[in-house]
Amino acid sequence: MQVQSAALNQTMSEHRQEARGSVPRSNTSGHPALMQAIAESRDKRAFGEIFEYDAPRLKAYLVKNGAQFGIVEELVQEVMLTAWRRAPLYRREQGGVSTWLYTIARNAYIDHLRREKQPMFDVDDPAFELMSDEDTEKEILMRENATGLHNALKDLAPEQLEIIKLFYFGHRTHTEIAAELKIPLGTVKSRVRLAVEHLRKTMVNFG
Amino acid sequence: MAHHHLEETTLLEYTAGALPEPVAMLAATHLALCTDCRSTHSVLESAGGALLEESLSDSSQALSQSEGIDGIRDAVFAQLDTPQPDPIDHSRNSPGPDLVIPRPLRDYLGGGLDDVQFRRISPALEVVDILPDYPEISTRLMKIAAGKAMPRHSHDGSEYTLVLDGGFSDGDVSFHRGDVAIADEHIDHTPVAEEGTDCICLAVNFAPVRLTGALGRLLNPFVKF
Repeated sequence: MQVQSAALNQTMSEHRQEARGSVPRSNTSGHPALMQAIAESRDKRAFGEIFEYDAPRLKAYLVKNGAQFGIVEELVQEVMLTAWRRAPLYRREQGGVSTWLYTIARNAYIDHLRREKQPMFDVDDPAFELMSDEDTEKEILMRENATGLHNALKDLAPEQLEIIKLFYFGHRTHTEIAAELKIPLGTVKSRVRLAVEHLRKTMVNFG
Repeated sequence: MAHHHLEETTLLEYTAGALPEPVAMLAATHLALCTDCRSTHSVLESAGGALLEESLSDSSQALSQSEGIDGIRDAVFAQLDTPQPDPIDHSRNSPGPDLVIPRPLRDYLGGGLDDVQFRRISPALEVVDILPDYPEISTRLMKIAAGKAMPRHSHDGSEYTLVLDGGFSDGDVSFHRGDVAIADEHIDHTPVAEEGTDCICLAVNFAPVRLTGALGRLLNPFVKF
């Protein structure tokens, strides 16, 4: 937390600089520095560290989501190779490395399931609308504030948390979720709206 | 800055990967233009990541999954030095960057505004079909001539319209770059493009559009709209 509040006064480039310094092993906070080492010098040792931490988790995620045995290993391979090749495109302000890998895995799995693409925006696109520096910093702090995030989730009303989980772990639409819970569409939408409001308030404003 | 946004539920569906491709493409293109929704999107993405980590550490499934990881590691490391084109990244060779059409829409069009071929529907309206084979959803880039009205119409399903250039008004509400207009099946409307600039927008419809004006009814059987 101290690092985070100190970072408020830093420019973003200084903030990145600082991340390069130390590489703690006990959690994922050193991962951006590892990604940078991969991007800049194709550092296989750094890649190995990320692999050891994240590959089993990605595998567990895919198994949990019902991916078939044969495809799981193939997808984990694909995601890790994508991470290696796309390391220069990783942006710290888009979130933690694990979140980034999880997004790649989810999209690869969706592509596999539906044989259709999950289109993504591109932060380097010339037509992309940039955030103000102030908002970008808020965003980085929010992304890195794991404690705030867990508290925000813990404080969610149970029926809101249930809905959010159904979206993430079932890949279902709100219509399907409404049918499953036997509640009106409007109720699903209002629970999502309240959950988002709560998460935004607790994570962004007090990050 | 956009003033008309996607619903939170739609953003959550996008983040969780539950949207059909045409709507996901529209959502991603709106996100490229709307910092507000992007902020919500990243909150949702972080929350999704945290829920995942929580669920994995709860059941210590991650540890049980380290079995078989050796084989994956060997396979991955064997390929690290093989130069291969990244199958996912197109940003370095994305066609015709322009300032009007952001990715991912530009990838689907195969270029920017200058590269696409519009099909003329009426003096007021030209369209480009996108994902023409996608079942039950029609997706089009539309160019509505400045100051002209769209044919009056209604639909059997919902319609999302994302404005990319110019603007249009629908009743007393107006929409500009980055805004999403959402119309459900109950709305029978006649959007009008603003004077001065042609209005370029991306429209995704869940069911065939029905032309409802007098001329529209006459045209209905003939127009693949």
